Amino acid sequence: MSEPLRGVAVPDTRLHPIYLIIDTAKTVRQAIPFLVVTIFGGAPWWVNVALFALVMAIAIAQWGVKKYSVVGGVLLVRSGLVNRSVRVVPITRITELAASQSLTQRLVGVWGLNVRSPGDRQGSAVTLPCLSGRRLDEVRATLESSARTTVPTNPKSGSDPSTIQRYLAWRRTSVAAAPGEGLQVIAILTTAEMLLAAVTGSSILLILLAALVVWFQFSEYVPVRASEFMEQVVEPHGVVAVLITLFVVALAAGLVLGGLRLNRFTLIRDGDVLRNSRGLLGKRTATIPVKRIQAVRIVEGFWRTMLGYCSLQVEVAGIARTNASQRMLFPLVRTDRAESLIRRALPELPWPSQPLLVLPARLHRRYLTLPLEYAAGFTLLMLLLPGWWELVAILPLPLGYVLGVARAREARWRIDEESVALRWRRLLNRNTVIAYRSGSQLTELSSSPWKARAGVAGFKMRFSSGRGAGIRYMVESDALLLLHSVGRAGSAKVRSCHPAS
Amino acid sequence: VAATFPPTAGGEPSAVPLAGDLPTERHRLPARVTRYWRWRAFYSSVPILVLLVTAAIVLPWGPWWLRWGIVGVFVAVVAACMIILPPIRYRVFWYAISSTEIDVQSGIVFITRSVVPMYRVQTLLSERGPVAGHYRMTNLKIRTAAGSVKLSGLDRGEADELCARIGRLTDLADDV
Repeated sequence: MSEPLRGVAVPDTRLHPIYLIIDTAKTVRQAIPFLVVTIFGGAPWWVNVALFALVMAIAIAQWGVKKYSVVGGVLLVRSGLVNRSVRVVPITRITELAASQSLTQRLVGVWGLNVRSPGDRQGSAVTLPCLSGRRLDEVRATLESSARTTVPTNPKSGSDPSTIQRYLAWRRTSVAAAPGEGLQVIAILTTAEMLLAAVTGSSILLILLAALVVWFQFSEYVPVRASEFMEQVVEPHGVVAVLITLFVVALAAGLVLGGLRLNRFTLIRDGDVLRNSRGLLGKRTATIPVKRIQAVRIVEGFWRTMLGYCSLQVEVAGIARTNASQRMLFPLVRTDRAESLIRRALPELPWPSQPLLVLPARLHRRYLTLPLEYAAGFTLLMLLLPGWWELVAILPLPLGYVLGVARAREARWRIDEESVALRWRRLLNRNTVIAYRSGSQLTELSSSPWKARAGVAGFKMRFSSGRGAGIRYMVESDALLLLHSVGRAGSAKVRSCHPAS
Repeated sequence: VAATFPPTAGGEPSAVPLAGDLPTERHRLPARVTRYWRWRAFYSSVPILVLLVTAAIVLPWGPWWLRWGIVGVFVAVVAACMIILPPIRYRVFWYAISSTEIDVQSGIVFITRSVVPMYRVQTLLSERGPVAGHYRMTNLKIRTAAGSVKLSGLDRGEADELCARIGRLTDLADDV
């Protein structure tokens, strides 16, 4: 790790003055209920003027006291009128700098910058909501220069353009058309892939569920024209027509959302950071220092597996556990090309040198226990359903059996000199994690008297992203091998990675 | 959980042993911790018990035997937690600390052995409530960026010493 910057790298600086307008608008939004009361309550005009003046005064005062600086290797953000606060983020703990531009920010030409650090899984450690392009470049270059790895990817960097020059070239030009000058464009999501990602993602199912709930429970709140269309045109054709219509609505909404979120998703390797940019109306960019990446996760969803696709995610400290888009490496890639994409994007990541190891057949029946227990519970519940719906109760047990068999057959693991790889199936998704051997924060071996008698144990490793990877049942000696070899600093090299079974 | 690291096919250990692999390095909690766990379980259950009894008396819901049956089941569960579980938990639990990692085994029926590399420790949190204070006990939580490991019912002096030792050993740069 390089020595953090000492002294004043960025002096006390206020946000861009346009923040006044954005903050005023935010304050006005918050004051809407009060304004409604004063305006419609017949208050004199000067009361509303005084209120607006007060809001402006508060916004100006807040803008005046909110300052950021980079001093002595830490990012400081001072704010607060009554309650003064100082947020201190050591630069060495910064894991991601994410610049974003909403539609409003794009119109006025300013950027927002989210600074993320470990243990801050719900959001950003610090947010600077209004920076000019020049200031954004300056702050990012300062923060990135001290957070870089000591070993540059390109040893001839002295003759290359500086980080800031390369970044400026990237940010101000078409990414696809300017791959030179040290920037390596790894992959760009095509429109067809974007649509496929939207269709095979989970958002359409969620929108469909929401639409079903809204239509069947809260139809009185649906806009009049939509309600009339459904009642006069669709409903006379029966429940199936309603379901098809709602599915079409969900599909259209999912495609639009996918387009807004993933349009022209571009993954770029720029020295020792990965950058991505995406978005249709609001452009979002993210920077992830390569040295902060602890693992890569290949997620093969149900529909994507059928079509031979998967998505790629990274495990990075401080990147939100709940927000899949923040940890996205690439949203959709053919499964047979995933390895080459990861190798190009992250050549440092040690890849397992041999195929992953399967579990011995004697463990397979253990994978049936849990799904069949859940299936039995669901069967009992479904037997309480009225009429013909009771027949649905025949489904859970076969499905539970299939899930158990799939989990047993697909579970894999491998450990070697520098990497550890685990594969497991949850429900519909199959996950494969390839991690640095020292990349996990916490390792766990789980057992019970029954497992111990059968020589079986579970293994789990947890990353600083808050997520984990694990195999529920494996040979106990293999689980112990993983417990002794994963996550430890300076541990001896593993000489053997053969299963003990 | 197996005591030591298994040999490979060649008969050699293939990684450095963990702190807890040697039974002599394992630390157990003081024997009085079972009394502490019992009283903690009792005091923790009192508010819910009061609520259930009040509901059984005041609320006109269901037949009387169902209302008091729920109270009875709750009392039985609390009694089991107070009588049966603490000795099992005491027998299962141990921790071991080396200069490079913290090795903890805990559980009752489902047993978990956790290993925290020393350089991953972010913060230490020690807590001491009135019941713990009465028994001169401290609960220690070792936090990493990914989660935490809890040592519940350490002797107060031992906990202070442990905090100081881990604090010294974790004075290392982390690369999270």
